[in-house]
Amino acid sequence: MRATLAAMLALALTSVPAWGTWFSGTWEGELTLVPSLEFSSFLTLSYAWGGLELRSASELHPVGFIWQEFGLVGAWQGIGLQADLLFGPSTVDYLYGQLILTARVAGLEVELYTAQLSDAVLGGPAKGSAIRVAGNVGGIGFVNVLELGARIEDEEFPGITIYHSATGLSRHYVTNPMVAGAGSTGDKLTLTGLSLCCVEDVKAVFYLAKTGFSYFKVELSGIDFEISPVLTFDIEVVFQVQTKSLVLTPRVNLGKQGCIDLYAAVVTGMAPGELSGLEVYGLGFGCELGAMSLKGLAVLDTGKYAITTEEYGSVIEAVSEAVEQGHEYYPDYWELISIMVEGPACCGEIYSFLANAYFEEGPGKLFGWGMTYLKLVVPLSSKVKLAGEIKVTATGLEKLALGFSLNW
Amino acid sequence: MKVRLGLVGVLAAGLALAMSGCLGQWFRPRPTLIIGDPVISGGTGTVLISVANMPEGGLASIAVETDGMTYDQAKIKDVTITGKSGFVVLASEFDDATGKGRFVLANPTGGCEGGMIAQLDFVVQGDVTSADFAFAEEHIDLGSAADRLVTDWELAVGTPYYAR
Repeated sequence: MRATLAAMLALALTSVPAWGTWFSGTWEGELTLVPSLEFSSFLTLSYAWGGLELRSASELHPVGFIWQEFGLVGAWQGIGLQADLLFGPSTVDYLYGQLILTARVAGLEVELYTAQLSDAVLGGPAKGSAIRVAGNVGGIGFVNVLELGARIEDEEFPGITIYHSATGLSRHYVTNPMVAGAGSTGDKLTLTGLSLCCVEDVKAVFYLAKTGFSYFKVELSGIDFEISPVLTFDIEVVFQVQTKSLVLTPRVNLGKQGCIDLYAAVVTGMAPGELSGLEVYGLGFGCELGAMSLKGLAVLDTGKYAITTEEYGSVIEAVSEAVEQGHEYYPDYWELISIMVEGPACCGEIYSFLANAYFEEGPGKLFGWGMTYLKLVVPLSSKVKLAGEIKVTATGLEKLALGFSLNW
Repeated sequence: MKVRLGLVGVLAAGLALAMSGCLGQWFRPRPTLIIGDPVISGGTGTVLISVANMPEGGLASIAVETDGMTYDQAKIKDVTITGKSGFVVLASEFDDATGKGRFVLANPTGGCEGGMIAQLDFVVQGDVTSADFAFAEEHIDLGSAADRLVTDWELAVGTPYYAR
């Protein structure tokens, strides 16, 4: 028995290289020691066969098995294929399914999107499709989306996001079947590259809802009236059934002076069209010192702007924009000083060390210090990396975690 | 080539017709205040408060008055609340002696049509479940970004997933 098991184990281990030519994937895990012992993991497996790739993604959280996603990507006979299925293992539920077919026909890009949301998700059940046709005629680009109970993600529409209510974790997809109405629910035609008198690159959008005409919109971006070298305007004219609106949005671009950035925005007054001033809401600097990168950010208007977390790039962003995009930010810190060191490590890989110090408003620790965040990533081989993460605030050690990532 | 074009055209048209024929009509759900299940980690616990399908620009304020929230004070102590997604805590009070809590949150930057708006943190003494928290609709007011009260909304406790 033992000899048989040993032989099977040896066979399995020696055949791993062979399996690696069929299966690929990544496994990322994090063991949190402080504030409490927790383990979370994200495992992705991919199996390639012919022109198709089958993918499995599993996310474990201390609460339990949150997401199990299956995906199929590839092409067959010139038709692109993408399929996604999402399951909630903790409640043994099917949650969402999406199928996207793409093809090139007579110089046009034709795409079919179809999706289904189950009744296990608040907001479901729902199902619908959309057909997208895009092309270019005489330098004018056009995109037409016929909505059959679904809408697809674009500049104006965010797609669908499914949330786990207990943890806040989410999954995002481009096809949203939560559209009221049956059959044809809308049609959106977008034209780009239009010219009008002295203005080039005009964009026009025509939207027909299920009940009839909804709106016609004309957009002109980056108009320079030569008032100031730093001031441009975006103009948007919208025609609706009973109203017409004209929106003039001033934008200021001060550029970069050496290694210093000035973040500014135009302040509009109470009267329509009134530009009352320029608000400098942030300051940043950055430079490279050998293998070290030095970066600093200061938010001068903490009521409307904040510094995003490390996961979202540590940049200054409007709070409203961060909330809309789902970017996490630090509401309590107005200044960041960051040092990043990268260098060669084992096996042709690169190690990295990040140290961020945040400062808060009001009296506190030395210089108003609020938090220090440290992260070290060390590659052990071309396929294995270890990471350590520490977060210390004025109240003490807030987080201590060890992480790993494997890819094969 | 012609065969492929024909195949793609028939496939797309057929799928579109099949989908449109099979489509059931989707009806927008009522605005919903979602209380997530408690997540216990060591000696502390967390409950997320979220919203879905909020009208008129989204939820901009929430007021939970006395008797709007109760909890089992034998198992739950030292409750605090933090605003999320731009929400700011204007006032809050959690009385461990009576097991009652009340709070007011507002979002100065805009409304939230769907997503997390607040997080309750507490110290755990014993086995805490969603039954140890209770929220009463009649003592909760929701305000939209259009400065109007949200009416005809519903409370969902223990709903595992929601979409936006």
